[in-house]
Amino acid sequence: MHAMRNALKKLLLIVIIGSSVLVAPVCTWCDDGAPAAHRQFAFAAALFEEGDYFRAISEFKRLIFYYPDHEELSEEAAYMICRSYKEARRWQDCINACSHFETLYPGSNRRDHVRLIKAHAEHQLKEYGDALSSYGDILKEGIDSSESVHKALYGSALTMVDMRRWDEARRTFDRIPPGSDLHRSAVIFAEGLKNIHNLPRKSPRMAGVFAALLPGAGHLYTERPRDALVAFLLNGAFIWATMELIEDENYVAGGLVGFFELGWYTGNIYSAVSSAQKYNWKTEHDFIQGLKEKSGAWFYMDPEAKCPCFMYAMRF
Amino acid sequence: MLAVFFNTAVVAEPQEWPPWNYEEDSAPPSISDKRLDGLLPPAQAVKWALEAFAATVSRVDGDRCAMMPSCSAYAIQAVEKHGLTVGLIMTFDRLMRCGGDEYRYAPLITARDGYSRIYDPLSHNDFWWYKTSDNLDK
Repeated sequence: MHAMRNALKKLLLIVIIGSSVLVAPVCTWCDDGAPAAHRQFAFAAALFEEGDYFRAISEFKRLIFYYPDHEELSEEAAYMICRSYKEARRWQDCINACSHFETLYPGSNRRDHVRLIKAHAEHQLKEYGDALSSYGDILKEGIDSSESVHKALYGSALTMVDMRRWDEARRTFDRIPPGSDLHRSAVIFAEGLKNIHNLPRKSPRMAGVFAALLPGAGHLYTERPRDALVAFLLNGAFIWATMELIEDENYVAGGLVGFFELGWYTGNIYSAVSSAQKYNWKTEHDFIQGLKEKSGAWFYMDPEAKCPCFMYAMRF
Repeated sequence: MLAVFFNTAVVAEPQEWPPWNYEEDSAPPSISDKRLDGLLPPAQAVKWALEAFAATVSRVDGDRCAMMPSCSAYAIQAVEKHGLTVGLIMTFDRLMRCGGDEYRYAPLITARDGYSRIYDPLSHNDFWWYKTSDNLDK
């Protein structure tokens, strides 16, 4: 009886050990890692789709680190890192990631797209020369009929618009062929840019001269009536005070008040000139923004911005 | 001197796109100590006087400036960035414009106290003659 019980215990132990060995999951690091790498990529891609860009970047980097031999997925992960930084608006990191991608995968078929992302990031950082250079690389090596070349032309033209090189921008828009999706937008923009030289402008020199002759006149010229009134009254009061003090032979006080009047007077001239420059800037800015709306470049209100603002994005 | 300054600067056209870039992080960058050490004694004295005003009179008077940065802060930045003469000229310019017609050209932002103010940093007023890669606005 005792022996039978022992035998039964041993048999039960063998059955338990045997079944656990049979049903245990296959060791994931015992195979070539392919299913795990794909799962890792899918997880990172899901984070990207949710908008959790920084975590997505970490997970893509994890994939590259753990599965460096899985070239196809590593390349795709490196490309997604570039996109994630772009979506997260981390422009310098985006540029670095794109440069890294180009170094690691010079023959990749994603190369043009990565260059477009890099150029967009450089544009956002106002590194216009670098942006034009990146677009230029695509134009040099791409086929004229390819969509990447059309996008590079469009991006170059928008960069030139921001650099205030209107005629060059117009000529670049004209190079986009009729077969491209961007052609209609480019035509509208190019037609609009023909009128940029006809916008109403204020002469900073005239504003300065008016302000020098009569404080406040420069501000009236630049359509700032309240500022004009303040400038006129301030300067008038201080000039009158200075003259009264000097007439009363109170030279020290007169000099002091006169010193302040000199400040108001020069400040009034500077203010008038600056107002004319700001007027001209605003006129151009509003015109270009209107062109972008009309031509179909994207605008959207950033709900998380600390002030109401508009941004534009190119369709990729 | 004034004639030379305005003749050279007045016809200057901004070569780059506007200084306004609302996409940028609004966290204020710090001004390097190296540049502060470069101020001449008169400019340093004026800067101290402005800081003393901000630390004493402004604390009693309260946050009444309609613009951001406030006029005293703007004056300090102007003197630090452009020196005594141009800094004072820009200060007088700002004092004349404060709360005036600038709202038609500048955006409104909400300050930490919850009130809206006209956003008028230094770069909005010297972009047409001063070129730099640094953003020194606070």
